[in-house]
Order: sequence, then structure tokens, then C-alpha cells
Amino acid sequence: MIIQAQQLSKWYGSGANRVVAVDELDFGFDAGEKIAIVGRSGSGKTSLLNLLAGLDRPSSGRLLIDGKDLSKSNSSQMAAYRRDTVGVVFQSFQLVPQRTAWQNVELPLIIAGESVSNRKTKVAETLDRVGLADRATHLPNQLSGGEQQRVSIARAVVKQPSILLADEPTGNLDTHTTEAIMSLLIEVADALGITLVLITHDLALANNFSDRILTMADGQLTEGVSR
Amino acid sequence: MKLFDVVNMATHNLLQRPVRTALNLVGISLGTIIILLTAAGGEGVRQALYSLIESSPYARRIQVSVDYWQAEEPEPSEYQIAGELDVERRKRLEESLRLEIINRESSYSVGNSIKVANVREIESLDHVDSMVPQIWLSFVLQKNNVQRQFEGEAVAPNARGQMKNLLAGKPLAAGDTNGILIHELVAYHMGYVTKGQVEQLIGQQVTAVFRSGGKSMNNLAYLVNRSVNESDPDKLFQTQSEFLTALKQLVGEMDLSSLTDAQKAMIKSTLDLTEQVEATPEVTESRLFIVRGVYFEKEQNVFDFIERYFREASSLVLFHPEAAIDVGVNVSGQDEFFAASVMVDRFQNLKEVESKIKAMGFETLSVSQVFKNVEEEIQSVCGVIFYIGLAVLAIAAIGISNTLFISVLERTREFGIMKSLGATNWQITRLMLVEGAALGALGAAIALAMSWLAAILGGRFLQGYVEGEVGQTVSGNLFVFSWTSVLIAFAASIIVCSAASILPAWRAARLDPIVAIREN
Repeated sequence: MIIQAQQLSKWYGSGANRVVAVDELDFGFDAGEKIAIVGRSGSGKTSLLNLLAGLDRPSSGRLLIDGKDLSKSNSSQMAAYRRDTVGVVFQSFQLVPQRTAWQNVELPLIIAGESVSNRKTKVAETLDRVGLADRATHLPNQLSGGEQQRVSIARAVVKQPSILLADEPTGNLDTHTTEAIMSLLIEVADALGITLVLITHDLALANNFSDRILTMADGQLTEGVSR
Repeated sequence: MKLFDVVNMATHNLLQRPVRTALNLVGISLGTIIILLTAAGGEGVRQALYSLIESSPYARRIQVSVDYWQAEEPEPSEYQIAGELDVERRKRLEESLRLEIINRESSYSVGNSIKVANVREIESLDHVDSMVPQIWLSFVLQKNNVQRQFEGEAVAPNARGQMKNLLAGKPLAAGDTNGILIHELVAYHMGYVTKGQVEQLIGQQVTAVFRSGGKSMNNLAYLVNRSVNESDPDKLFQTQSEFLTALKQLVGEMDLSSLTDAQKAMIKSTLDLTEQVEATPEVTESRLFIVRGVYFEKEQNVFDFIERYFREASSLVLFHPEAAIDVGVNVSGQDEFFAASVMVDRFQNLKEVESKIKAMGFETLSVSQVFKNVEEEIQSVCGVIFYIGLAVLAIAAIGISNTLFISVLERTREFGIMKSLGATNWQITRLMLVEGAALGALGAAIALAMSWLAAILGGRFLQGYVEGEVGQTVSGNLFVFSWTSVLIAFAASIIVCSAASILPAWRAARLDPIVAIREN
């Protein structure tokens, strides 16, 4: 299993004000699997994604990535995990507005210290893969929502991570674009053998684009769709 | 992240906010310009002074004197000030007391006088061109039935200073012990007034009559005020003898009973001295000299500061040093001197010769000290301006820090994204520090260009002014940008700007990526 959670919890505040977002979860995801986590707003989906993305630390329990306990990592190791193992696609794209599509996709490679020639090859390939080769020099505000999300996907996979986390990736897109983006995500994940974890509140989307659906409610995760 | 990429990103960000960057650069450049111009001006003026000093006839000269003062440093307990005083005033009073003790306890005694043997020893040192002991010779100069009392002294042969001031003739040559130089006033007293007459005097013989002991002027000088308006020694001696005879008679007739023993002893010693002097055998010697040149006193301008340290021979008749020593030793019985001036072959060898003379136990004064004093003054003035420049830079730094803080706030999302993509705290910190350093480097580069331009325009004006005052050409520019000063200015600018970005960088690095992303 590439991701394994053991009694994984995340809570905020303390005492009477304590809010449990992730409540002693035990689960495991296999490499190459496509998992959809569905749930209502406030169910703890994003908190779980932040833990899986290495953006946050668990309050208790263990989160094993390829057998290594991420919860015991220091900040540099967490940064290295974010840099080398995981890619994240956000609902609101999270592109740097002053940088072109090319520069946004190049950013993870710059952070990783890759050479200019490597960067050129990888960015060109990835932009081509997401169908944006001809939009490379455009700034985010010169791109449509769908195009921005394509850039975001390209940036998330340009380093070929083992895990791709997508947090409501189509939340800001119309129906037609949603189909296209989801197809792209699946295609890229398949092509690169990436484990895809899709966070969504859209059950139909989860049904259409995942191998396995988990439902999150009140910090608890259950297999399948619970109503 | 490679440094190239960090610099690239930092530059990219600065260019994204051109107005803010430009305003920051104005502050940085202004401070750096002040620092650069101060350093360049200080170095330029130093080099110009160096060049002026080096071209001066005094640049190769060392004034040698005997060590007069012998004073021991008092123990600190001897000058401790009691009482409740503030630190500054106590320090001031203690220093004054220390000097008072030194003055009181010091003995004004001559250390090693400069003997003829010392003259020969110094002459034989490497790089020494000439050694001129300070001897004042009193003599009567005779020419064409004119005879007049004068004072003379030795002067270095071929001294460059003489050449500039000659009205007629040429300087004394190296072996020309029979030659003399006379002041234009001496020529006037001898009846040579016009330029043509003065030129006729060159090559002519004059007789100098030196007298010592007995009635000589040297001895009389002990007894009478030298301002007595009488240049004929015979007449002066007669006047003096009459005065002393009258004094003796008066003392003999006086009732000394009311005086103390000390007062009586004082009167007796004075009268004994007059008898001793009169009893000294008188030596008279006439020597022939040939007038080689007639000189005049050069009018000094305000920038002739070097000459204030080294007064050229001020007597009206100048002798070859060997002739002066010979007369001093054989006629006046003067075989040791209190001062001398040494001329070295090249300015660069001055220090070496000076240290050797010091090692012989003599005090020395040369342009190296003058130069040191002038340099210290330049440094102190430049120091003040340098700190003003630093203050301007510091004020600019506060502005930079403020701007970078705003930049961090504006770029919260960017830093959050970068952290979510795996950027470490150090990478974010470094990015901000490099941004500050890039501002500093760019500001310093602009400052260098502006300073260079200002130096060209201002340098010409300043050079013209100084040359007008000095009365001679000042070589080189008065603003010299040395590598050291440029490096210091760049370093100061980059360090100050980087320091100003530390706090914003720390703040950027501490951003929580989740919060940073959520904020947008």
C-alpha cells in the first residue's frame, strides 16, 4: 500500500472547544488506485487531504507513505515529501498570477533544483500532455477556468509524483469542462501510474471517475456510499 | 533551488513592481553615492597631496634634531582625581594632571648632540644625498670697501628649493666649498641693486672675516642684547666695554650690605663672566668665497603647508655645508650641533633613512609625519561623511524593510503555493534575502555610475579651484575610485539591504501554506 493510515486523527482547538475533523481513521490505498472521497461540506475531507498532502500534521495516529511515517517527519522532510512524492490540484487552481503557464508548471522543478535543460523538456512535455502547448506564455488571467485547471494539473504532475490529490478540481468549472478535466486527470494518472485521490462532494463524478469510493462524515471514513 | 533561479525570481519580482523598486533604489543609491564619493574624494585628495608633497623639494628632506626631553611616565595613582565627578570630566582632569606632572618632572636636557662624526656617519648611509648640520656663523662680509656684519648658515648643494628662488647665478655645486649664495638684500647692501648689477656679482670674490673668542660677536652675544643696532664689532665691543666698566664701577661704589648673599653671588658671577669672555683668546680668520648665486625669499601661499614644517635656511648668506663645518670646527670651536637636515635621493627611501637616523638616538621630522597628519585630517573628515552616508543607507533600509513587508503580504499566496510545492523555509528566506541583496547591488551599481559622473563634473571644478589656490598643476583626478572603495560601497549597500530583508524573510518563511492558500 502506498498510503496507510492508522488511528489517524486531526483536531483543532482544545478542551470544550475541540473540533475533531479526522477521527481515528484506518485505511489504506494501493499504488495506482483511483479513490474518490465524497462527503458534505465540513465532513473533514479537506482536513484529510491536507494531511495526505503533507501540508498539515496529524494530532495523533500514524500516516505511512510507502511505509515511512510522515507524522514523525520534521519540516524539511515534510517539504521534501511535498516536493517529490505528492502533487495537489486545488479547486481554485492556486496559480501564481504574475507567472505564465510555463513558469507556473516550471515552479516545482525550480524548487527541486533541476537543471534548465531538464526543466525545458519536462515542462514542454507536460504542457503538451494537458493540451496547453500553445498557451505556455499566457498569464493565468489570460486563460479560461478550464485552462487554468489544466495548468494546475500540469504543475502537479510535472515531477511525476506517486500520489496526486485533487481537491474539488472541478468545483469552479462548468459541466462540459468538468468532464474534460476529469478525463484528463484520469488519463494522466493512468499514463504515469499515479495514485489518484479525488475529494469531491459530487457523487456522480466520484462514480464515473474512480475505482473506489469512500464517504467522509463527521471525521469518519466509510467504504462505499453512505446516505 | 539553484542560486541562478533564486536571483532570477527575485529580479522578476522587483521588476513586477517598478515604481516601488525605483523609490527604494533612490534611497539606496543616495546613501551609496555619499559613501562612494567620500571614499573616492578622500583617496583622490590623498593622492593629490601625495603628488604635491612628492614634487616638493621638502619631500626628500629629514630634519634631524637632538632629543631634548627626558620625561618619565607617572604612575596612574599619581594623577588620580578624587571627588564626585562625571566620567568625562574626571578623564579630562586626570589627563591634565598627568601632563602637568610630566612637565614638572621632565628635565630639559640635551641627549645625544650631533657630532661631526655623526654627520659623517649619516652622510655615509645609503640613499643620503646630503647632510647639512645647522650652524649659524657670524662674520663680516667685505667687498669693495663695504663691510657689514651678517649671519650665515649651511645649505645643501644642488637643493631644488634654491633653483626656484635664484635671481641670478646657479645653486652651489656638490664640491663647491668656496661658493656662497647671498640674499638679494646683501647684494643691495654691497651696492648691487639692479638686475644687471646683481648678475655682475656672480663669480666675484668676497671676503668673510670670522671671529671667535674675545671681542667676537659670538662672545658678545652672551653679554648684550643682539638687537643692539651696531654692526661693527669693534664699535660694539667698545660700547660694551664702556658699559661693563661703568657697571663694575657702579657696583664697587654701591652699598651691597642690604643685598642677600644670593643676590651678591649673582652680581659677582655676572662680572666674572664678562672677565672670562674678555680673557678668551680671540681667533680671527679671513676666507675668500665666490658668489655663485643671488637668491630671494619666495612668497608663500596658503597651501605651502609643507614649508611651515621645514623652514628653508633663513640667513642671508648660505655656505656649502663642508665650508660651514670647517669654519664652525676650526674657527668657532663648534664641533657639535643641535639640528641638521638630511636630503635623501628618492622620496620612497625617506622612511628607511629616517628609521636608521632614529636608531642613532636622534629625533627626526619629515613629510612622512606631515603626510600622516594630513592623512589623519582627511580621514577624520571622510569618516564623518562616511557615517552620514551610512545613516542615509540605514534610513533607506527602514524603507526597504517596510516595502518588503508589504511585498510579503502581497505575495502570501505565492509563498503558500511555493511551500505546498515543496519549498523549504530556508528557500523562501533565501528568496527574500536575495531580493534585498539584489536591490542593494542594483542601487550600488546606479550609485557607482552617478558618482562617476559627479566625480567627472565636480572633479574638474575642484581641480581648477585647488590648482588656482596652490599655484601649480595637480596631477590626476581629485576623485579616485579604488577597487577597495567600490567593493566597500557595494558590500555596505548589499549588507544593509539584505539585513533590511531579514525580518520580512522570516515572516515569509513562517507562513502556514494552508492559511496562505486559504486566504486567497
